[in-house]
Formats: sequence, structure tokens, C-alpha cells
Amino acid sequence: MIDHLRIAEAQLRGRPRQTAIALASVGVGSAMLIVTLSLTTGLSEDFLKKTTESSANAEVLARRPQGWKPEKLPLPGEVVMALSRHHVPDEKRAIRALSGVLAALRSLPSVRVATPAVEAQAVLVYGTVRRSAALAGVVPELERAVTSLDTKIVRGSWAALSRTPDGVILGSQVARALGVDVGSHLQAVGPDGGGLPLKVVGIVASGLSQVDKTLALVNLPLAQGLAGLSTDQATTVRLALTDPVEATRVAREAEQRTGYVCRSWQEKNAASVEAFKRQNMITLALVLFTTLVAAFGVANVLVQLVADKRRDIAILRAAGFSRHDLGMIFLHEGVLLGLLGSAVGWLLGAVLIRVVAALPVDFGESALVRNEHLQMAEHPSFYFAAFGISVVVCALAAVQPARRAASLEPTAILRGEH
Amino acid sequence: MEVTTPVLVARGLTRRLGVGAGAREVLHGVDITIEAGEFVALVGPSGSGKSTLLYLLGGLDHPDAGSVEIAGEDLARVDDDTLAKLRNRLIGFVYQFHFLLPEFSALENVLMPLWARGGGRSREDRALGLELLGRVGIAEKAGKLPRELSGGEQQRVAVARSLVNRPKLLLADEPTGNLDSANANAVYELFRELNRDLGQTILVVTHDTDWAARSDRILRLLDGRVVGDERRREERA
Ligand SMILES: Nc1ncnc2c1ncn2[C@@H]1O[C@H](COP(=O)(O)OP(=O)(O)O)[C@@H](O)[C@H]1O
Ligand SMILES: [Mg+2]
Repeated sequence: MIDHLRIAEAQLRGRPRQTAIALASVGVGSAMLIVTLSLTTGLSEDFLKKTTESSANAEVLARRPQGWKPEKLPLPGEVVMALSRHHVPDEKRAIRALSGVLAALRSLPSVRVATPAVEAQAVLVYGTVRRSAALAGVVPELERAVTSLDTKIVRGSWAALSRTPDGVILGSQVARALGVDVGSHLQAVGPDGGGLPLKVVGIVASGLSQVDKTLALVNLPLAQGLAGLSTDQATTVRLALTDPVEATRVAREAEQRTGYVCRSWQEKNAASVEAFKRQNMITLALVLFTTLVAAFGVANVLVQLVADKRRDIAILRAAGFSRHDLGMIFLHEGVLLGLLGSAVGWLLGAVLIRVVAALPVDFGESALVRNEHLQMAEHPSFYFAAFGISVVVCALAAVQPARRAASLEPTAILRGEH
Repeated sequence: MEVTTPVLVARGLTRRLGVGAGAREVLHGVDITIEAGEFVALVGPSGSGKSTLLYLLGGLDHPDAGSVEIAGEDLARVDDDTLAKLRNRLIGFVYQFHFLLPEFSALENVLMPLWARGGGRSREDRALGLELLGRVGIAEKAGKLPRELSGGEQQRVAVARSLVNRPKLLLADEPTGNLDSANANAVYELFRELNRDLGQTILVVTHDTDWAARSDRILRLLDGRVVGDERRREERA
């Protein structure tokens, strides 16, 4: 085996300034790649994590699946009868025969918890301040098994809701907007105009603006009353599953059993996930340009090196190195710059991730997700991706200079030096 | 006369150089035979085609017509890669300028031709390199970089390098053209010694009439043709 690497390495060491510039450009390029991957992945992971924390694995909705016909339901007969008997087109949108639906859902082996909820738009009134909210009536003890909102309580307590029939847990931004705190008394005005006195027992900060700006959790019977539903009706049933990854499959099963539409968390967030993916692709494409700039830097250094090393190339050829050997030497220089450059990039990237993660940020109240710091993700795959891309790009950048080195005619050089 | 294969047999070597209107024939059918152990000087005015001829004989360039055989191997009929291997095995080159690789020590430069065949790192190879540096008189400079050596020392390293593959034929293109007379004389003596002690076959292009006068045989080149071939056998033992 001919040690092309040995000559390649020596030539690079013989040109410390140019080598340092090439390494710096490769290093910056791959660090940018690492930091961008970290940032985009961090943002979407954080959004997804908070979203799944504050919503159920799957939700049964008060809607019939497309093409649904009562008589075709593969349900036990009495449930079908119960569902169809109560179905009157003019009535409010709701899941009817709630107890039957709950029983059907709870009989599914993948369903850990099924808990009903009534969701209704309401206006919260505190003194002269009015704020619209997404009022949700829940069974507090079951609800905490379905979402982890109970762990995001910042004031008051979750348990207080079960003890207080007229209690309400508010999203932190709702509470702030109204100017209320735990213990405050306020009014909820439902879609039909009826006023309902409520007492604040807890405040939740999920970090997700959508939730914190609108959340108002009350006990189920209260919401049923406000929405004009009976005690055997609800607008959704939320599910906690044994395996959240399987949620979409279970959702289809639940639709079969209940005759109501069921959405998995993946289906619910598909649009946001898609949006994040698209946005990340665009960002990455832009960052790849940085890598291309680094590639130009490497190509430039190597072209210069080949020009400076014409004599050495002639000597090596005369001594019995083949064209192929000369090409390999310069290709190795490209790969070497890629390897060392991405090592620089790893260090720089790791430092930058930590620096950016430590920077305090405030995107204001309109942001999708609220955080005090940017959520930087860090996976080995980012480093491997940057490494692979750098090495490949540098090797490609070396192809042209290597060809040039291989094509040089030693006699022309030896003659020219006379 | 002994029946041995000549080290070099060149027949009808023709070479055109340049492109388009500037193209012209630089060598017009050159025949040369060199026997093992000869010390031959190639002389001729500047531009007569000496370097061109040397590159053809050393397998660095392809002739337009004619053939070159070194130790029975036909250089004209092989591809570039094979030619590189033959150069590596059969030929040693010394140039007017002492082309050394600047990043490597004197010893590494001497061993460099062995790298081309994947060698040059064994204990034996290093011993050979040191022995050759000793033969050219600068064993103590083995670890020095070229820029730490004088011009004469660098040319000695180049001579040692040309010998490391134990070449059948040593080709030198005005090897002392760039040295002062003391250094030039030392290099000449070195060649003389190599020829006498090791039986090294040598072909030297030289302007130096002294050099020429002290060789076994003088080939004269004029306008791309061999116009003289004087053997002076009395100098041979
Ligand atoms: N690339 C080239 N194109 C045209 N003519 C060339 C080229 N290279 C060398 N020559 C000519 O070939 C002739 C022989 O050159 P060379 O072998 O270097 O002579 P020498 O070594 O005897 O001085 C010279 O006249 C030179 O001008
Ligand atoms: Mg010449």
C-alpha cells in the first residue's frame, strides 16, 4: 500500500496558513449545520412534546365518520339501538349515550383511560374585564391520566378542582389577562347566554400559547349545564393509550366500535409536523450553502497547492509514482481537510449549541411556544450528518485539483525549471 | 566480446515537440546503445535535444517513433502506469536543480522512490538510505530538512535518492550546472566512484568539458542527431 496520506499530510502541514483557512471554513460550515439541525429539531421537538403533553393520545369527537350508517355498525345490538334512537338531526352536536360509548372504548385492550369532556366557547367576565376562553368540562381525576397538564400547575392545585364543584383552572395567560388569581370569583357566559359563577382554584402554564391563552377547566356537570347537554352527553372522549405510538390504529378501532370520529395525536398534529418539516428543509437547504462555500475554500486551497507543488509532482512522477498516485495524494488532502475540518466543526458546534441554549430569549405572547431559552436538541446524528457531509463535500472539492495534479506532464515542468 | 544484454538500446528515436505552427521535430532518429558499467557523457550545444533525449531514455516521455529498451524491457510499448513502475525499478534521475520534497528530511527524500512501491519504512530500507547518505558523505545530515542543507548537500541527497532503487541506469541532466566548482568536482568524483566501485551505469548530460573529458565515452548531439561517439577504453581498468 502506497502511503498517499503521508505525503498529503506533509504537504498540508507545509502550508499551515492556507490549511488553517480551509479548516476554518469547513469547521464553520459544519458547525452551522450542527447548530441549525439542533435548533430546528429542538423547536419542533419542543412544540410536539408540549402539544402531546397538553392533549390526549386520541380523542373521540362528536362527529360521524364519512359514510357512517347506523345499521352497519358492528356493535352489540343494544348500543346501536341506543345510539340511533337518540339521534335527532336538529339537536346539538354531541356524543350521545355517553355511558355506552365509554364502556365500548374502555373494552378496547389498548385503551388505558377514557374520559369524557364537554368543550364549549365561553366568555369569562371578571369585573369589567371580558375574555373569551375554550371552556372544558372534565373529570379531574381521569383527566390527569390523559394529559400532563396537572404537572404544569403553577398556582393552586389540580386536586382542588375535584373538591370544588364550581372551581376553574385557568391558563396562565387567561388569568393574567383577566387579572385574577387563585381564590378570585368570576363569571362564565355560555353560548346560550346563561351566566355561571366560578372560583379560580388553579393556574396552569403549559408553555404552549394556544393552551395558556384559552384554557378554562371546570367540572364536567357544570360544562354540560352551560352547553345545554344532558349528563349522558359529551363533546369529546379523551383517551390515554397503553402505546401512544399506536394511536392512529387504535383511533380506527375506536371509530368502528363507537361510530364516532376518533383522531390520534399524530393525525391532530399532522399539519404542524408537516409545516415544521417543510420549514426545516428550507433552513437546511440554506445552511448547505454554507457548506458549499466551505467546499469552494477547500477547492481553492488545493488548486493553489497543486500549482505550488508542480516541481514536487514532477519529482514524484519521475521517481515512479503514477498519475493515479498523484491524484490520490490530492484527493487525500481534500478528505483530510474534511476530517479535520469537521472535528473543528464538532467542537465549534457543541460550544455554539450551549451558548445559544443559554441565551435568554423572549418571543412575546404571540409565539407558538413560550420558553425562556431556545430549546436546542442534541443528537449524535447531527454530528454524524455534519461529518459525513463535510467529508463528502471536501472530497468532491478535491476532485478537480486531483485531476489537475494527475494530468501534469513531468517533462514540461522539469524542462521549464531549466 | 562478452555476450551481455546492453543496459540501454534506443533505436530510431524521433520526438516532435510543440503544437500547431510551433511544432517541430527535436530528435530525428537517434540510435544509442549503452553497455553495463559504462560512464557516458552526452554533450551538445544548448537546444540540441539532450534533455528531450534523456526524458525518452528514462521513460518520462513517449517517443513519436523508435524504441527504448532498458535491461531488456521495452518502454515504448507500455501504458503510463506500467511505465511509472519501470522507471521506479530501473532508472535513477538527477537534475540540474536539486528537486527535493521540502517537507521531508534528507533521509525521507532518499527513501521516497521506495514509497512509490509501498516500501521505504522498513529497518532495512532505512539502513540502505543511511548507507547511501554515508556514501555521498552527509550521513550526519539525515534528519535535516532540505532548507537546512547547502546547495551541494542537497544535490548529494538527490544523488543518493537516485540510487536507492539500485537502478540499472543512472541519468543525470547537467547535475553540476548549478553548483560552484568545488561542489561540482565533488559530485563528479561521486559519480566516478559509483561507476568504479559499484559498476553503476551512468549517462550524464554535461556542458562541462572537464566532465566530458574524464568519462569513458562521449556522445555528441547536434540538432537532434548523434554526430559523435568517442570511446576512451584506456580509462577502464
Ligand atoms: N514544448 C516545446 N515546444 C516546442 N519546442 C520545444 C518545446 N520544448 C523544447 N523545445 C525545443 O526543443 C529543443 C530541444 O530542447 P532540449 O531537449 O531542452 O535541449 P537541450 O537540453 O539540449 O538544451 C529546443 O530547441 C527547444 O527550444
Ligand atoms: Mg537541457
